[in-house]
Amino acid sequence: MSRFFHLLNLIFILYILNIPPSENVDRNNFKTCEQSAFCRRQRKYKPDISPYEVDLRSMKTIQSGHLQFILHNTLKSPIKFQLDIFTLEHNSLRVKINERNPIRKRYEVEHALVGEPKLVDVKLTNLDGKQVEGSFGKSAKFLLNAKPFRLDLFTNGIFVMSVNSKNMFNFEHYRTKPGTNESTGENNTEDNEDGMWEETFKTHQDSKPYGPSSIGVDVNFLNFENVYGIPEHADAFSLRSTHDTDPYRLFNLDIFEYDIQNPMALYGSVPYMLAHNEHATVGFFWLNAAEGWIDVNNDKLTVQGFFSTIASFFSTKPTADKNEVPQVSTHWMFESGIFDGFFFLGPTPRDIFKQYSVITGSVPLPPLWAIAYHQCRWNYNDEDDVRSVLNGFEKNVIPLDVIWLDIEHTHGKRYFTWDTQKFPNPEKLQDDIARYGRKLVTISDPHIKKDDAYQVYADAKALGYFVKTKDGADYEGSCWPGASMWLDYFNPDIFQWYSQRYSLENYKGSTGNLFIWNDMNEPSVFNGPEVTFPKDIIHYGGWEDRDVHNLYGMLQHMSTFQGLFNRSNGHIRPFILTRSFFAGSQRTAAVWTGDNAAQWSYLKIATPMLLSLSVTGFGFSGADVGGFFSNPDAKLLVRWYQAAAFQPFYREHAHIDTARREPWLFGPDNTRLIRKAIEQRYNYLPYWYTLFYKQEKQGIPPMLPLWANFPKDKNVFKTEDLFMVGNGLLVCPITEADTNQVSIYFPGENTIWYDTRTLIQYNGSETVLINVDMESIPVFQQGGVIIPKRLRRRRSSMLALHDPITLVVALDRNHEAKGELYMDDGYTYDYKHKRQMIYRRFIFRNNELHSKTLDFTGKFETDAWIERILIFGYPKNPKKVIINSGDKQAIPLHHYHAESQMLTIRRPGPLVASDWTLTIT
Amino acid sequence: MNLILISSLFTIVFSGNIEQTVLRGIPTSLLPKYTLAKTFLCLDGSSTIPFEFVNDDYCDCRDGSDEPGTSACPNGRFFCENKGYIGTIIPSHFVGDGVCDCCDGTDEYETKIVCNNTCFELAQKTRAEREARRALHAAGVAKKLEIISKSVLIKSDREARLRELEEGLQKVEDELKGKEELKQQAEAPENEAKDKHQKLWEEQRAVREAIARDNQMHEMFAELDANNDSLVSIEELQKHTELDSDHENEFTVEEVRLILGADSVNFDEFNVTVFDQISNSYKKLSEQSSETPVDHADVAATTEAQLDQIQAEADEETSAGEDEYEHEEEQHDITTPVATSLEHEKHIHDDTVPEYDDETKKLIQLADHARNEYNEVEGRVQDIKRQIDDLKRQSDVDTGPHGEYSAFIDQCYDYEEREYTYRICMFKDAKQISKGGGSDVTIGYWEGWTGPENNKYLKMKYANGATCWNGPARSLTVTFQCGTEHKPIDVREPTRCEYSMIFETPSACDERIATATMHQEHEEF
Repeated sequence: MSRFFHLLNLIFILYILNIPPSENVDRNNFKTCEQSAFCRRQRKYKPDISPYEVDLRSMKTIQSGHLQFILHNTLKSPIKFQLDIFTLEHNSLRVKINERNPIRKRYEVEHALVGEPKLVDVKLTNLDGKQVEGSFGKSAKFLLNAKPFRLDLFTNGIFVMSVNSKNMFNFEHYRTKPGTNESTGENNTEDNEDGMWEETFKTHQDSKPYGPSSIGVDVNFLNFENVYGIPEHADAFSLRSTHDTDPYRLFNLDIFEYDIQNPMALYGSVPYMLAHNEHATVGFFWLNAAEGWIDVNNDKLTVQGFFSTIASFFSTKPTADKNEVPQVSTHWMFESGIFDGFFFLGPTPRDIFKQYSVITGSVPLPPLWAIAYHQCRWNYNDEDDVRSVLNGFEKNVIPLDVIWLDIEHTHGKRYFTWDTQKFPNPEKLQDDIARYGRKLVTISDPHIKKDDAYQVYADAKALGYFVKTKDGADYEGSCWPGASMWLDYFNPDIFQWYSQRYSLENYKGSTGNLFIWNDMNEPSVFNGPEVTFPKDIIHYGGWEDRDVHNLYGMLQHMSTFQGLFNRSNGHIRPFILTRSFFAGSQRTAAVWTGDNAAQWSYLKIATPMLLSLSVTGFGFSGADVGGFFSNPDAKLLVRWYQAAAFQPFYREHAHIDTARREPWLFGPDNTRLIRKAIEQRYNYLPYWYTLFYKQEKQGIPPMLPLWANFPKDKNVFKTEDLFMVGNGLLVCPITEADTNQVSIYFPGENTIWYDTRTLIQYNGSETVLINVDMESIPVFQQGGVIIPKRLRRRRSSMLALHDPITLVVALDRNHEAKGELYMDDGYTYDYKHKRQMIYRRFIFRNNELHSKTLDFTGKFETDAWIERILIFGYPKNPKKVIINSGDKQAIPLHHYHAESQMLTIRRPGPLVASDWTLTIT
Repeated sequence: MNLILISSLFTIVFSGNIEQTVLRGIPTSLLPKYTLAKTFLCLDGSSTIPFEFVNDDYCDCRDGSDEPGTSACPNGRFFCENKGYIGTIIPSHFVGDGVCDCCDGTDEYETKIVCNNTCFELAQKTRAEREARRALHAAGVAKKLEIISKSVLIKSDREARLRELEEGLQKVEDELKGKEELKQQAEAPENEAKDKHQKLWEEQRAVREAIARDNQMHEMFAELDANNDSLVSIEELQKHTELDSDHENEFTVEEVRLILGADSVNFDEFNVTVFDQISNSYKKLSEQSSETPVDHADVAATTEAQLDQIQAEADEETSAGEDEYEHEEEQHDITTPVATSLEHEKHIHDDTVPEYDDETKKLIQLADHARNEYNEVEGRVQDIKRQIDDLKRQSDVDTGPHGEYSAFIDQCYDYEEREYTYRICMFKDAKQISKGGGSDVTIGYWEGWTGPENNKYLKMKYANGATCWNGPARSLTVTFQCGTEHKPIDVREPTRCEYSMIFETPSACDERIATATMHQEHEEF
């Protein structure tokens, strides 16, 4: 939902000039690298030889798995750096570089990690005093080169990453301002470059009292051609070379009407990049919350000099004639903080997901209703409006789980209040919504209206809880309510206090069926530089926004989470949607891709954007269905509903100036198509829920790039027009208006893919033209995967909780298949604390389908039963089907459809929770 | 046969959770189709299944007719018997979902939740609501009938009035013709006299102008002729550098000669060839040097005296028989001193026509009288025509088949909201009036009735209002509902710039609801 006041000015100006508004963002409001002094300095830093050297004699073992060295800049000898190497469990390595005796402490990111990473032993070999080699974990190895400083990383003996091999490591130590009394002789003209001690952008001045403090480093992925991640950008999934553009920028901003296909910053930042090739998947995560820029270049590494000595480590032999291997070289630049890099050495995609989630946490299992369908709009105007929308879903027989209220529901954008004329009885409204197991989500933004009569403001003001200017006054800016202030969540007391605003007692009119949406939390400040905080404002602990900027939104939604968690004494799972995020946000909130537009191109870009989020930990993410700005035509809306039905967070949302677009407003046929798309989501909910459970356990996101399931299939490394849900469904969104056919490459060797509509079988490694109509987008089930579904219709997911299950068994070439099903009560933490859950494994092999438990402690009670088993690719009509469970036996009916090779087993009947075996003869 | 047996076996083994109640959820009227037999024909005729498959919690029929009593089919229909109330059909996916949808709770036969039987209360409540509704409609219909009968009267009144007006119009138009003739007769002598007056005035003015020119010329010549030799020489003129057309360089002898056309000119020659060339640029030498300020008062006095003289001469020239008229004060009341002859000339041009003589005045008076009489009659013609148009417009407005909505004609209604007053003027336009000041915004002009085909008069629309920025033109849809008074009860803007109003009016009350008897309702229960 974003929209900012510049718009109001703009509207006025455009009104006068009678100029139609531009479709695109006003780029002049946002910095280019050239306009950001540290980026300008770091980007041009390309010495032939790195002046940084490691003093290997200084090596200390702090504890097993933690080594410490001293690092020098030979051009600035008095400045010493400390290099810490931590060998971590799960094939991961952490490297920290900080000033040894800084004149001011440098910021180290808090709140992002799930805990203190666990160390593992390292086996050291000191190679001829020039290098230190350390082996750790299953198959990981680092090689630290002393002169110059360089760090090489290996997995399974393959050389995968190299740090500072391009000599771009450049650490700006804190210094005194030239010309001041304390300045030492060390200062020279290079310390007084333009933009080091102050910087002006448009009318905003950044006072930079501490001078330059940025860090740059090159991290190079050897023998890789594709890197991914570093969200959030509206750009390709396989990151593009920035040779001719700005670097990818990481700086949480509210970009009004963002453009697509460019490296501009957006609402969230995750400084985590993955690289994948057919041999390995690796990752690099730099834990830093300052403004960042990352250059990406696809180039070649010439294997000579040093590299020739380790040529044998390359996964692919350099070509004989050229001695070259491809590499993706990346250059990372952050404005402040320290170097705190995590290297994940895979080597498989699954390993990578696990490794990153061990460090920053995984998405916890959401409430079941949160992964069902959400209906939102800026704004549902009043209680009658909400009720009439709910009635519309009933009347049109479309399932719905959540309805949302945007900013207009409050009393003048004072969050935690209601416009009592429009919402005189919010508790009653929520009770009515809850009748069918549904929930209400209200918005709660971080700007606090400056109004002494507003209790939240008055209390926070009295307590001194607002973010301060560099001069110590409460910082005031403008946002939806006009003059506003912002809470300093970095202070634990304020964090706690804010979380308490969500108690049923403090948030009048809220009930246990109300959940929260945190928007505008980059934060968006209409009159601030780049529409956000000035960098020199001060947070708790004296840190400048410069140091902590990208954490602000996360701290707000973490505090919100705490509030909702405490509201039920930790019994009920909270749900929070946030626009701004940082690494670690996934532990407490779902994210969406902000203010997109009702255009085909934005439907198309949603897939790469969500894939980028998925592989960097944000498995619970979505894009506004239909596009936030302007009006989609019926075709675009239907296609969007169809695509988003297979994306993790499924919500319709629209700008206040758009026409109404509830599913039934586009004629009976489109209503039918939208109903069908939403019902498909509900049909697959048991599968989705199982995938979300696996995500909590293993860090594997439900929505996946094809390479995550087919890591050796080189044809899919750049694929971003198709994606997978788990390993079972291959989904092809239709992103053009008039499409009759799409060309689809089916991944994997010897795989079979079943068109879920026609049951037509396709072979892996083949490209096929598939006919397309408006009824659905192409979705294929992979042979070898069993998918649990619920084919009964219900008004909401929670009303279907105990409904019977249909198993869809798609056989592979060996006539085998397997799958899982997870179930619980759908909304509490009893699955964790009381083992109130069921986790089953289904295996089809040798004409037998077995159901076994994957978790013997699980004891969720449900009368859900297996209502139907569909077997795809079954070769012939069997004689008989027998099902055995314990000492009971039954012979269910079956039906075989020869043309489509589908065997239907009617009413096999066992309870989902029981063990059973179905035998086909 | 074999299959059925096996199926039953399985049911015994695994069911437990499902009670076989074959006839659950079937409406009484359909029971004959579900008679216990070996097979069941799906109601759409699509297939025949073993009768054991009816309500066995597995969907076999495409139309869902085999599972009226379970949630197995997405399109099944469940019959709530609802003893004490009305039997209702609900979608079968409401069965067993933990929500009590039937008032007798029969849809939740197998879930753990307990549904209270609320049929009795519901029946009471429904009855009370119906009665209230009926009473409202009855009261409304009474008013509506009044409106309709009034509408008939109004309509016949209107028609009678129209006829009357049309007849009246004919008469008045005849009268107007007579008046027009009289008017023309009076205007002919009036125009003649006026023309004469005008002509005389123009002649006088020409004389005045000639005199003024002459005066000015004399004055100028005298001033130029510095040596009083009755000639203006090159030298004398050369002093007047303001006459140099190319102001930049010197005013040369050649240039001066070009103006004079000779080395010197006498008064007559000056009159013919020089004066008109220089009169616009010419300035007195005394004006050019500030040392000798002009005595404005003197000039003014002189001019006034001259004018008086001229006027006197002119008066003598006019016919002696005509009465002398007094010079109007303002004509000569020169409040600002006349600085130069040129300004004086301007003063003459500003002169207005003098008053008419009494004869002319009398003629004008007569003509004015004729004109007024004509205008008065013409006003009546227009008034009648407007009344006819209004009546015709009123009878053109669609006020419903029986004129139910005729009471709206020429009426406006306000709806007060926190920030705005919404004013709807029926069959005309609708406005949003800001309470905090600011101009009114038209949100639509009358477009027509837009209710559904079977109920066209349920809704009306006002469209093409003021355009929203970057958006559509505003519009308003009014939905009518039965009420005892005409009043808007709600205005909303569900989509930006598309307003909707709910309007209560007796005109929307329904005779059928009003006359529904309790007896009939009892039958439904």
